[in-house]
Amino acid sequence: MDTADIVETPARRRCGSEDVHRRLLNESLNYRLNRAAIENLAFAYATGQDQPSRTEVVIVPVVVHVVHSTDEQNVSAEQIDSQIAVLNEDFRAINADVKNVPKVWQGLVADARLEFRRASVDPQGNPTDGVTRRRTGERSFSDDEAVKFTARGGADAWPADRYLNVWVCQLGGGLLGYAQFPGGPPATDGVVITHTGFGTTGTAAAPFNLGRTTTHEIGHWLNLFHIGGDDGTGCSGTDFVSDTPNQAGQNFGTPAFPSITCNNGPDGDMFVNYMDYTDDAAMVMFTHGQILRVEACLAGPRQGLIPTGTDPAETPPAETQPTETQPAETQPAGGR
Amino acid sequence: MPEISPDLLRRWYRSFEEDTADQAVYRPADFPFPPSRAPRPSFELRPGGGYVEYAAGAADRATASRGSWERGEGDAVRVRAGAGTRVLHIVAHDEQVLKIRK
Repeated sequence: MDTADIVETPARRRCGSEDVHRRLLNESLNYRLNRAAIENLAFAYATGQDQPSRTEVVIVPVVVHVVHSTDEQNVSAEQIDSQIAVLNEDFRAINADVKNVPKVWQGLVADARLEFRRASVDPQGNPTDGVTRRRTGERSFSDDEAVKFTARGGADAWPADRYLNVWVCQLGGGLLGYAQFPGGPPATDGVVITHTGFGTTGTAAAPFNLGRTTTHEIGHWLNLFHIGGDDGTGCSGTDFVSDTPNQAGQNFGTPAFPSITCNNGPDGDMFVNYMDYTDDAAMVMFTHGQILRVEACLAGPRQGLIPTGTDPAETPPAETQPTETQPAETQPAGGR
Repeated sequence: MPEISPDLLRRWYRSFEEDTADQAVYRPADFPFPPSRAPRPSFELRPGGGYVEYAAGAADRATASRGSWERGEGDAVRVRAGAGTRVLHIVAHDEQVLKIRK
């Protein structure tokens, strides 16, 4: 879990540092508690102890924060909509290339029953096109979260319990994107995508121009882990999903079937899964087991996205407190 | 206060593609690396002796181990983070490239 930068013990106590230290410790403790509750619920779903109850497709209101230092990085509405269109195929398993799933896994292809729409109401209750744009002096952003804060050259998050925040910018170090698992601080909740890996048109560049980086990162945002198990190239790591084969590390490029690791023959690694590291053209599916984790996530930490009778994107918010002022303690703990 | 060339005080990303048999090559964030889903290994030398080592994390974001650096003899910089201490022998550097003896 990426907690390393949530707790940083000051080297020595200085005036003012005690409050910061306590806040970091509290956030870390909350994160650990949140994560435990989220995984307990996912485990209950995975073992059949608990079951998904929703019958409707959930509509996820999306806000895209375009943070740009050049005109090229200021991606067009068409590029944004091309990304939304990809999400609405991939999370419904109606993507044309799902036919590329090897026959042995075709029965595992799962529909997440999620639909993504640019938000139509902003946090203050005003009409919006679901896009914020900001010129920045930062030539590129790293994974240090600066892009998520107006004060650091980025754009502040919209309330994470009601919106999926997507930041589009120039990421440095060649990074395509990164995400935050559910249970973390609301002010940094969401996904960050480099503009050349976003959507299918405009600045999107092969082999990452089919929108799959965003699909992958939203997978993390919905509590999915890499199918390689995040233990380097070891065979003991797990994604806590029973129908994704055990595999060593992540795959890259466009592998040929079968790709055998960790004695997982004859079918080998499920490199066609969105939660592998292959090129956009090679990743085409989620499994039923993965979507059970998504269901647990929607029943727990992301339950704010479930409509209470009407489309949340169309419903003015009950309160308009800015996200960054919400204490971490208010984050849903994933319990029911 | 330890002394080190100001050029070195930044986050350096491994540029495997440019490695030679005896040198590991690092570049700054703005270098046009080929895009990757996995974060490249990187480290950061900070003014005043702070050091951060970054490794791949579970949500495609690097996880940070914090420590310190100090100037060693000759071309050496001794860094400490996470599991232990190691010595970087800096063969060449400017604002755009850092080469370390393997």
